[in-house]
Amino acid sequence: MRDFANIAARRLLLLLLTVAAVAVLSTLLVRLAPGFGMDERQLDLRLTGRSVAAIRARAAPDTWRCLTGWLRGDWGSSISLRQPVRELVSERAGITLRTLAAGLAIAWAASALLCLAGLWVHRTALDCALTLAAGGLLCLPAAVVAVLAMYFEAGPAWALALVLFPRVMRYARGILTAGWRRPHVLAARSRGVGPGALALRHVCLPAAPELLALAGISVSLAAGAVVPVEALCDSAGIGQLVWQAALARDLPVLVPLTMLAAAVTCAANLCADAGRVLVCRWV
Amino acid sequence: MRLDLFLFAFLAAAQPLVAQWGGELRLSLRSEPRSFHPALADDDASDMVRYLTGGVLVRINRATQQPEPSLATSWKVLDGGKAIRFQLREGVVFSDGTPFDAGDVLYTVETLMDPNLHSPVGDGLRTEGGPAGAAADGPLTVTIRTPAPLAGGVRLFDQICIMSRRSPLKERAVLGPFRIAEHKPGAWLRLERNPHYWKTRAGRRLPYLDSIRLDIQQNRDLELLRFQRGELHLISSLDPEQFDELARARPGSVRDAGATLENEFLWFNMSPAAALPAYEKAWFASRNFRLAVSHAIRRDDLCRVVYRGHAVPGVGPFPAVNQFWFNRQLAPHAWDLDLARRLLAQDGFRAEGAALRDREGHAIEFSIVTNAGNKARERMASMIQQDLAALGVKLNLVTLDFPSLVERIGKSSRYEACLLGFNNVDLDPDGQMNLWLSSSSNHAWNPEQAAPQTPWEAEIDRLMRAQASTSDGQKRKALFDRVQQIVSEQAPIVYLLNRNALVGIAPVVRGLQPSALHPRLVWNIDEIYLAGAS
Amino acid sequence: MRRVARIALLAIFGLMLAAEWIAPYPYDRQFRDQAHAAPSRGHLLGTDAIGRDRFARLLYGGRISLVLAPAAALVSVALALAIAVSATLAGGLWERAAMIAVDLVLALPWIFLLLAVRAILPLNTSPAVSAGVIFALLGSLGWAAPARILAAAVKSQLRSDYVLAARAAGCALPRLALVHVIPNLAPVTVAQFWVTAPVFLLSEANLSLLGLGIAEPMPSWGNLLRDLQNLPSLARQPWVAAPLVLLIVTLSCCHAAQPSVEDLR
Repeated sequence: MRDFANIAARRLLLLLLTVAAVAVLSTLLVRLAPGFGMDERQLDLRLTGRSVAAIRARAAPDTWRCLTGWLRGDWGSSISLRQPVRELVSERAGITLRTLAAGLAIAWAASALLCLAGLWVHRTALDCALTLAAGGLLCLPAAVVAVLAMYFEAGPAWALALVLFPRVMRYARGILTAGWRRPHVLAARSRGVGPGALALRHVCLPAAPELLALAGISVSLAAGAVVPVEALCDSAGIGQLVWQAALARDLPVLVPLTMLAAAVTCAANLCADAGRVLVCRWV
Repeated sequence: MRLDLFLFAFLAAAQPLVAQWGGELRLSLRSEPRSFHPALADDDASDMVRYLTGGVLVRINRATQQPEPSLATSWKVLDGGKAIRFQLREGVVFSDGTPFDAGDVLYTVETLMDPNLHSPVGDGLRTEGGPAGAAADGPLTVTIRTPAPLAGGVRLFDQICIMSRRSPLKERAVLGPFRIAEHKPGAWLRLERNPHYWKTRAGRRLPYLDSIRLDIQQNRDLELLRFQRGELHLISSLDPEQFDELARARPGSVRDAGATLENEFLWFNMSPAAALPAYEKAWFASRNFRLAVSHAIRRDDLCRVVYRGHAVPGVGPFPAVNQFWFNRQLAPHAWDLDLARRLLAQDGFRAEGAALRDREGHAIEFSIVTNAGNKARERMASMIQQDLAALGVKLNLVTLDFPSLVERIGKSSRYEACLLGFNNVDLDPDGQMNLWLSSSSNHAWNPEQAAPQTPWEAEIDRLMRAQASTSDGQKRKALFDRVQQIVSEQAPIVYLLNRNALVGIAPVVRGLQPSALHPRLVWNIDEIYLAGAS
Repeated sequence: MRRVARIALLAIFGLMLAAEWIAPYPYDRQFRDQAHAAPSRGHLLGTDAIGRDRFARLLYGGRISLVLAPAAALVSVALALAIAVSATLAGGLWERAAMIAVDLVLALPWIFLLLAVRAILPLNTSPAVSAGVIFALLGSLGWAAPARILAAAVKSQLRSDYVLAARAAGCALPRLALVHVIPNLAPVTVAQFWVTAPVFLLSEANLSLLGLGIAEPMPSWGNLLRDLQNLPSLARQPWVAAPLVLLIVTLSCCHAAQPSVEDLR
């Protein structure tokens, strides 16, 4: 137990250091990208030269001050939306969390169902259908997925699920197919073990570490996918905020949200790793 | 026929013609409003909210393009245009009941003249001599003074929303037909009727509508989908494909309101500080080169193919829809490859095989930047690429995201040519001063010149300053006509086309008069009603 | 089935490579009087918004998409495999450092690096070169997600009997990796590749919204797929979906044509 606590503490410390590194590196990336410090209002013909110069100055905040502020927890104000970043995030966090949770749940449920069905039934036609379905969805641009979801009044969670499902399913299918072909599964089948027990105890359980890793990675995939999904579905979540901030090079919004995404990703992977360790010990 | 049946039939048929009170109008905004402060509205979404909630001294009727009394019942231009005296409407109160008087106008002008505000509306009140000032000549009389004549004159006050100096709600207390009721950031904004709005009709206070819901909808495809489902009543800007699609599916729900002030154009980088080879600078500095490019572009094709006939070839800074200021002596540069070749030959350009070369033998090849994600502009650029290929010019298309584009054209000057558009909001050429003055940071092709680098730019400077220093409309017109002529002759900006206003209107919406000027559909919001509302 | 898929793939790649001879027109030729035309004898898949032949653009676009996207996917999966295998086998500090690097790479907004690189390239860079640079960057940045999954798979392999037996027999780490671990990762690795390739192909389309896609007038399947956004018009112009259909067919054929796990062993 003590060992576990020590490891957890070390991993948490690593998480914090990773998030700090993300803050520094993402600030650097945004700072170096072309268009930093630019504001489309500069092109407004009604403004005098003095106003244009003032707008330029405001659009390029003091990077060092911002960085130390973020690391202290002071997130400052958005340049483009002129509101405190914390307020912007707290207004939108609920929507994004619901979208993420629902999207991941739908994608995993569908993937689990279809992968297990594929293993049990093991028909070429079903295999082809699954390959085509996953392949087809992978080939759809995010903008088309978003319009499809809204066309059928399904909402951004379903759009996110449609984006995640083929990726999760493909990876999961590869993992479970490899597990299904292991010698001990053949031995269990020859001894008459039922399909349910076979799939769960002899295929999924040994593959749990990889599935947990996939679960961890699917959280970061979802965190990445939620940005274009919310932007294209016009859903007022954090993803839409990130998209708008990226287009406007709004450093005070981008970096804290990137840190938040990094924390979520690392936490998800930390949980996945912890789960893997526990499963390995149990198995 | 029985009289009662006849009356019933008559009333049923006449019902839609009689304004209905009540209901909620639903339309969308393309982005989150950045500010609800009337003086700081500098993006389209904030501007729309300001228009719907703000009260102004003078309102420009978008149909006639003439100023009409609003919070001011009358006005007089004095002192050669350096002063305007307004007589204010009596008995008006803000949306929270606070009385309106001359002090509020003074407060508004003072706020706009704050040097740290940097408001586009406020900057419009500044002249070369300095900021504007205001003085009350009574509780309902106010005089606005400027050191130099205010060229835009009374028309500027169409954009200046009067703020309350006394209300505890500060800028949230408004004089317009609606006030902000609810706001869900990133999602929607609801405006409710202003219970104290000063305009009345048949003994009742306008507006007819109870509320307006503005959904924040960036995705145009989703906006169209929602309009087709009846979730939105209006779309203020359809792209040509959407327009034709909707016209096919629901013919009565679309309108082409004619050419707008929004133009598409390209220009060449003529800044001496640009990091371009000397021979390229020489090309772009050559008037004949610019004119040749202009004559090689098939504007009719751009209008017909990209905009599906919903655009008119560009002539100059204003299209014909700007009835007073447009120079009717000018016409779009006609497509004429022979003329283009002759112009190029005059400056030593010659064709060698398929390529055009300059005097020194350099092949004419340059890039044109435009903003990514704008389908129409990308298509126009592709068509211009093919048009110039006929001359032997190799044009490379580069799309950039907007901040990168602004950096290149506004700061680093690392570009060769640019294809962009301007959304003019002002009918008056004074609104374009910062484009034409050579010392301005927005003098697109060669900004912030210490002194005009060419005689024709010096002439434009002189003409623009002269038109800004008089309030005589006809004199100003003559001066600006000459500016338009110089621009046509020198082609520092190659005007391509003016887009038409393509709008979607649900059949239940009545009282609308679509205009090519902003805000296209809701400029007479207090007269708009929904059939079958109450 | 595998043979049919392989023949189909050869036919598709053959068509793409022979675009210059098969395409009826150059991909950038504009028939301005026939914009948005329906399929006809002159234009097998109709024309686009400015009158360019869709069939020609489909053929030429396939070259970019079917070469660059899989190449970028190959780079990223190869990098992921190398990092996952070496870090997990080395264990300890190396493994931890690799996982931190994965988290960092997943979290950082690399879009700004892509913008910075595009800004460095001269404006007159040819579309092919700028496409190559963008795909190379996507490939070199896209290893993080596959690396995590592969690392977990490697860990799982390390607990297996045959790996234990090999180590007990004194098998050196490089040989262990090459002979015992990597071949058994084939199904997972191949799955990564088949997910990553279309993702990169579509990334190019999404990046074009930021000016990072294939420059006009050069076509790619990614930018042809953008026409699908207008769903209502798709019902009237189903031929616009031809790139999507061809892409699905190509990917499915690639999947069906791949060697079995036994063949890979």
